[in-house]
Order: sequence, then C-alpha cells, then structure tokens
Amino acid sequence: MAGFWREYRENWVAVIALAVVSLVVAAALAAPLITPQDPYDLANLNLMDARRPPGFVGSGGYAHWLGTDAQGRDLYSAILYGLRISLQMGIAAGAVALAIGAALGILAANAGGKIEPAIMRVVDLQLSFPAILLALVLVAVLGQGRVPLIIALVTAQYAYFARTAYGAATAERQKDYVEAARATPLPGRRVVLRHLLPNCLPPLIVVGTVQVANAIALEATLSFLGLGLPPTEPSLGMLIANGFQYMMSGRTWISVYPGIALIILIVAINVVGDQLRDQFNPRLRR
Amino acid sequence: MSAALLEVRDLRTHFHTRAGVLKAVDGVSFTLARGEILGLVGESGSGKSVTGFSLIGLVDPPGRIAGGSIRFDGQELVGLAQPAMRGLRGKRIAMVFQDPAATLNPVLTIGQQMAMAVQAHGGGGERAARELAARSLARVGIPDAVARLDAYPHEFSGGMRQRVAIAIALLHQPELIIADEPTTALDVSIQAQILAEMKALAKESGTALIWISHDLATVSSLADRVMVMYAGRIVERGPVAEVLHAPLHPYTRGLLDSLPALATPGQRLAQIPGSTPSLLSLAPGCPFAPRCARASTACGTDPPQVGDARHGALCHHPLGAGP
Amino acid sequence: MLGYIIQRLIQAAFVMLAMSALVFVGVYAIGNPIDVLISPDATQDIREAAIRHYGLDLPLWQQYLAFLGRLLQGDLGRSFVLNIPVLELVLSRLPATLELALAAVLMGAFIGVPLGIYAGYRPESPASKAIMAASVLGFSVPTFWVGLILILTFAVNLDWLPAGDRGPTVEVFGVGWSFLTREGLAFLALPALNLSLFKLAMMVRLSRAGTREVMLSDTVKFARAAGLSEFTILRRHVLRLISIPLVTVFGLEFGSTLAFAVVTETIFSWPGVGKLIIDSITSLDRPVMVGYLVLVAFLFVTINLVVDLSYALLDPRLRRGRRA
Repeated sequence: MAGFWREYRENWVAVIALAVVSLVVAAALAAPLITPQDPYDLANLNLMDARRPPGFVGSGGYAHWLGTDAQGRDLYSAILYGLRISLQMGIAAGAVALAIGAALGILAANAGGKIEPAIMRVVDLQLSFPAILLALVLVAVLGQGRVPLIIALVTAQYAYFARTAYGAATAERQKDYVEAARATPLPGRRVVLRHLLPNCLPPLIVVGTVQVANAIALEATLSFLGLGLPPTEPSLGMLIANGFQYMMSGRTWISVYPGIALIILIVAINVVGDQLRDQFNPRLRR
Repeated sequence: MSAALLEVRDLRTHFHTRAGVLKAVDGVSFTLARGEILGLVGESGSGKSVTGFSLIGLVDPPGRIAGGSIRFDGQELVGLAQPAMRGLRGKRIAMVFQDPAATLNPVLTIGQQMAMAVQAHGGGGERAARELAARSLARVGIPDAVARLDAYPHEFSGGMRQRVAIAIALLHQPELIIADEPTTALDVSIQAQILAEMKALAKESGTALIWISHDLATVSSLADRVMVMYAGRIVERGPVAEVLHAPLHPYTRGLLDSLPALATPGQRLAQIPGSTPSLLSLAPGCPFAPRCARASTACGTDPPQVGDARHGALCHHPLGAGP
Repeated sequence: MLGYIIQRLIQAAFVMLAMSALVFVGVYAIGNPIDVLISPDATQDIREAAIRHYGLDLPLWQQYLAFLGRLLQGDLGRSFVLNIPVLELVLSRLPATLELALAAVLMGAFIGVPLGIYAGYRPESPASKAIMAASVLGFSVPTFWVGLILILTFAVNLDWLPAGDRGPTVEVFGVGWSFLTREGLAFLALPALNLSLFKLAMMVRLSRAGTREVMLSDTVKFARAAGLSEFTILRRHVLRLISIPLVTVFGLEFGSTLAFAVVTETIFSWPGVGKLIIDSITSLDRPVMVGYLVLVAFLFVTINLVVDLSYALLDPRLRRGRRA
C-alpha cells in the first residue's frame, strides 16, 4: 500500500486531482455549514435578488460571490448543494452498477454452460448501444425522481462492470491457484469469495472511478435536458440549463460557474482514474 | 583487393537507460573490402545486432552512437545528417532482418511495398518501379514474379517471404548488405537454400555482406572472415578457416565446442558455464573472465591484442600460446 | 466472401429481432400499452376499440408477433401530438441528424487521426503532451457544456457563427442538405464541432496508441532501412496498419454519435431526430419514442454490419481467409 502511494505520488497532476476530488467531496458534505443559504428552501429565496452578477450584496445582507440564478438563489450555495446531489447520484449509481455488474460478470465466468454466453451476449449488445439513449428512454418510461434516475444510470452502466469482472475473472480462473482451490473440497462459493473477487477488484475499482465520473456527467446531461431531478432541487445540470436562456443576454455566470464546478469534478475524477489504471495495469509496470 | 568499402574505428553505441548507461557496442573496429562476406557472431545481447543498426544509422532511442567513426566508401557516416543517411539506406547500404513475417507490411501487396522502396530513391513512375521489382523478385528465385507482385505477404511461405525481403534489399544493387540473422526464423532446409543463394548473389553482384548470426556453423559455411563479439567488443577476428581450426580466444573455443557438427559423436556437447554478463555492471578487465577456465588475476586489467592483423584476439591467455 | 456476407446478414436479423423484443417488452409490457397507442384524452369507447384493434386482450407472445407484423409493414403508429405517421415523421427528420453526425465523425477523423499519429510519433514533444491533455478534456467534459461554451464564444462574444437552428438547405433528391452552401455550412459548423469533440478525443487516443506500437515494429525499421522518408512511412505504412481498428471504432462510434446528437440538437435547436425524441419525451408522445428506438436499433445493426464488412475489405488476411 505504501509502495502504491509512492508510485501514485510520482505523477503530480494525479496528486492535484486527488486533492481536488477530496476537497470537493468535503465541501459537498459540509455544504449546509459553509454556505450562507439553503437553496432548496423556497422561503429563503427572494426574486428581488434574481440574476444578480457576482459580488452583489442581496436582501440577505451578504455578498453573492458567484451571483444569483433566475430564482434568486445564491449560486455559490446552489453549486455546493448541486455537487452534493451530483456526487450522491454518481456514487449511488456507480456502487449499485458495480455490485450488479460484478456479480453478473463473475457468475458468467464461473457458470459456464449456457449461462455464460447468454449473459455476455446481452452485456455486449448493451455495450454497443449508447448509454445515453437507454437512460433517456428509462427516465421517460419511469418518470422523474431520484430512484428512476438511479435505475436509469445503473442500467446504462452495469454492462461495463460486467465486462470488466468477466474479463478479470476468466483470466484469473485459468491461474493455477484457483484450479488448486477448486480441487480442494471447498464449496464453490468460497473459491469465488476468497480468490476470484479480490483479484477482480483492481480493474473494477478503475472502471468504478471512471464510471462515477460518467454517471455524474450523464446525470447532468439528463438534468440539462429537463429529464433529471425535480426543479425544486436543482442539480448542476439543471442550474446550467436554467442559466442557458440568460446567456445570450450576457448573464453568463448562471451557467458558467456551475459548469466549471462540474467540469473540475469530472476531470479530476477521470485523472485519478487514469492514474489508477496505469498503476493497476501489469503491462505498463516496469 | 581494392580499397576498403567500410572502415569502422572504435565504434561505441550506448543506451542511456534509467538503470544507467548500457554500452551495447564498446569500441568496435574493423574493415570490410568490396565484395567481401564478413560473419559477425555472438550470443544474444553481445551487441552484434546493435553494431549492424549503428552502421545503417537506425539505432532506436534511448540508444545513440557515442563515439568512433564509420567510413563508408570514404564518407563519414557518424554524425551524417538524416536526409543524407536516408539517401544511402536502401540505395547503397541495405539491410535484411530476422523475421520476414514481421518486416513486411501485412496489409500492403508485395508490389506496393517494393514500389515504395524503389521510389524512395527517385525510381521514376509506377511502371518502371513495378518492372524493377519484378526483376528483383525473379533474381531471388521467386517464380511467376510479375503475378506475385499483387500478392500479400501472408500468401507466401516463410522462405519465400524472406526472399521477398532480400529482393527489396537488392533493388538498388547496394554495395553493402547487412543481414541480421536472416535465416534464424526459417526451417533448416530452407536456411541452407537461402544461404547458398545469398552467397551466389553477393559474389555475382560484387556486394559486400555482413552476416550477423549467433550460429558459428552457418557463418563458417558462408563468410570469408569472421568476427566473434562478446559484451560489446570483438574478442576474436580472422579468416574463417583459421578461427575454426585454431581459435585464439577461450570464448571462441567454447562456442566451437558447443557446435554439434564439430563435436565427436557420442561425446556430450560442451557448454560455456555461466551466462552473458549484464552490460550495465561490467567489471573492469576482460568481460569473459568470470566464465573462463584460463582466467587469472591478470584478467582484471584490459586484455591485450594478440596475434596479427589477419587473425587476432583480445586475451591475456590466448590458446596455443601456453597458459 | 459471399458466404460471409450471408452469415453476417442472418446474424444481423437475429440481433434486430432481439432488439425489437426488448423495445416491445420495454414499452408495451412495462408501460401501459394503451398509453402508447392512443392519446390519454380518448374516450372509453375509443379505448376499447383500440384494445380490440391492437389485440391487447391476446397473450403477450401473440401481441409481439402482431407488433412484429406491423413493424415489417413499416407501421410504427401515429404521433399523438402531430397526428402523422411516426415513420414519416422520423424519416423526415433523419437527414438532418445524419448530416450532423456524419460531419461530426468526419471532423473527428480528419482532425483526430493526424493529431494522434503525430502524438504517437513524437510522444515526448510538448505539442504531443498538449494534444493528449486536450484529449482528456475532450473525454471528460460533458457535450452539453462544450456546446454552451461554443455558443458563448463563437456566437455571442465573437458573433462569427449562428448560435442555433439549421439555416438554409439545398434540395437534392427531395432531401434538404446544409453542407452545399456557405451559409448552410456556417450553421452546421458549431453543432458538428460540438458533436465531434468526443470522437476527436477518442480518435486521437486510438491513433496515438496504434502509432506508438507500429513505430516500434520491424515493419517500420525495415521501411527505414529501405530508405523511405518518415512522412512516407507514416502515410503509407502506419496509417494503413492502424486503419483497421480505427475503421471499426469509427463505424461503431457513428452509431453513438447519432445518439449523442440528442444533446447537441437540443442545444443548437438542430431539427433532427434527437430533438424529436426529446420533444416526444416531454410531450409523452410514446409512439414516436418507440418508432425512434426501433429505427435507431435498425441503424445500429446496419452500421455494425457495414463495419464488419469493411473490416474484411481492409485486412487482406481476413479477406482471403474468409474466401477460402
């Protein structure tokens, strides 16, 4: 573990990215403590403060450092709360997709027979179909809200985990120690839990990191298209969408600041994921 | 014999790696006359291939020629600008590689690849290029050469593919061909064929040939002179017959003893104990000393040149001169 | 080759069948099928007539066969909102999307591949590192956000290009195209660029990885030994060798480009099928959704087929092997 961190530290870009991710997560967790306003409490909002530029001191008596949106929300507060939602959705969807996908992939690798090709055919078919379309249709069929959104994100993403787990598990299965473990009278389940799962984890973690970023981007995209969460609890995508119509009139901050927050988060997660991929990939190892 | 075609003086090619400087070629000197066939023999990692690539100016980074001189027909090649070097490559100095399956481009026809090689040096139009290519294929013994121009590499057998590679090398009638283990990847029966054909082609066209191989037997059937390389240095050089029958260097002796063709039937083949040293951590003195039965404390210093200009070696205790 | 084509056609038919089953189960079985078929404002009589007409009282497998039958006749139902046949509606919008997607994919290839080859040829140069950093951005930054920035920069601040809509088109074979006039191109430029960025980043990465590998191969060394110039080696040897995986991805990505056109078309008000599906989702126009899905699935299967066949054309080893 110490060696892993030492190798990670060699890439200073990845170190900065990790710091940014930690900082964003911490800020999102502490959002109620470090923001002047609860942007979801309609009683707090004053339309007199709407669409004010950064630095404007509103009716609350404090300065809106990033300006306000069309409902008079303090953008700084709204962005931190939006990051909270984005992270929640991304991590929840990523975790569920990882659990389902890994289970399916390892099952397929172990089951053999007819189950193996059946599962992997569906997975491959779905991989060739763009995630955004699936998510779009599911949200349309299931309606809006957190649970439908997570279902849509999971459906769009589990196949990546299944592919990864399947690949890692079949590669691992052919190694001698798993064969040896199978030859002992241990029940099959223990072989899977003790041996296969731990060895499938590194690639799954890499895919998981990237997929959390993808889930956040996908959620933002769906919200931007008006198919995400209800407008009373704007996520970053919806803040950007709402600001879009004011962009032409020069009030760019409503869209631009939430967008920058979103991009910093996604890029940072992806950089961390890239570095993890390089470190876990034995082919790139010296 | 006419003036030397190639004159190499104290060639040093080094690789700058993270672990340190790897001296793959460490002070190699030799001359080559026009039309002469020279065998360059050594184990893998002895620096024989890097020597070949140095001559044609194709050492891959992180390697580079650190010093010395290569004079080709009076022209200095070390430090020569890339465009001028490129003008020589394929035109006056050609190279043939070990694995024809890897050197030919699998998605282009033989004719396309040969035409590119022709047009790299002027060569005129498409038609002229194809004609030249077909003639060259016919020369290396490929039947129905014109039709075969439109075939892809995978449609040839291994031996035929290597003939195609040789035909590409011969396109511009170069004065020097460097052949880097060109028969190692082939079947034994085809090896002998190609060997004989190469020899005939070289003699007929007056092309000088540097034949790089790990196999002393192959080289001895082909070359006029032979050089034995060990750890980046030439440890023995001389006419083939003399080196085979009266080697000076214990390493050459070891190589000869491990050849099945020369061993007494019924006797176990001898092996040289130990393995080639890491070029990163060479101790001073003779690099072969740790594996050498004749080694003494004197071998801790650089070995002297023994023998004469025709047949010589780098050794403190050469064979046939007492222990 | 012919046997191979037939084999792939049969495979494609099976995939299409599976897709239609998925769409059927997804929309007809999970959702309330009657909502899909007729407007929610319809009276009870009309509803019951429709249930009988569409055979919704029949078992599911019979319904699926009936659905397939209508599908084969090109009957995808009528749009609630616009009250015209779905097939006609989708087909009238398709050229705009195809043009946009094609422009985007071509842009991605013609800009991305040379950049990627350069980055693979000189991996240590500062320009290559900048290219790779930009490709990470292209991968990570959501399409809609890039679209906003493009509008803000080129339409609002610089006022060089229009911010949205399709502008004038020229009719060829009864279909309107933008790329034939200067003005049309101006309208096409920003959406196409927006849609291409992800593909561009992908092309850069793929061609860089391929080039790095090929540059170390004996093929390149042998070509150098034959005196070929570096440019000729890159153009003739490297490009041909990396083109096989590139064409595969290129084709497959054309499908996902059609899908991502949803976002770009919404931002730039581009009147294609992507905007149509978003509009139909917000107005709950389910027959249009089903029609769009079936059509996209069909496009996907067709594209996969074409990619497989062109793969065989590009790789002579495969071509001859298959013929034998």
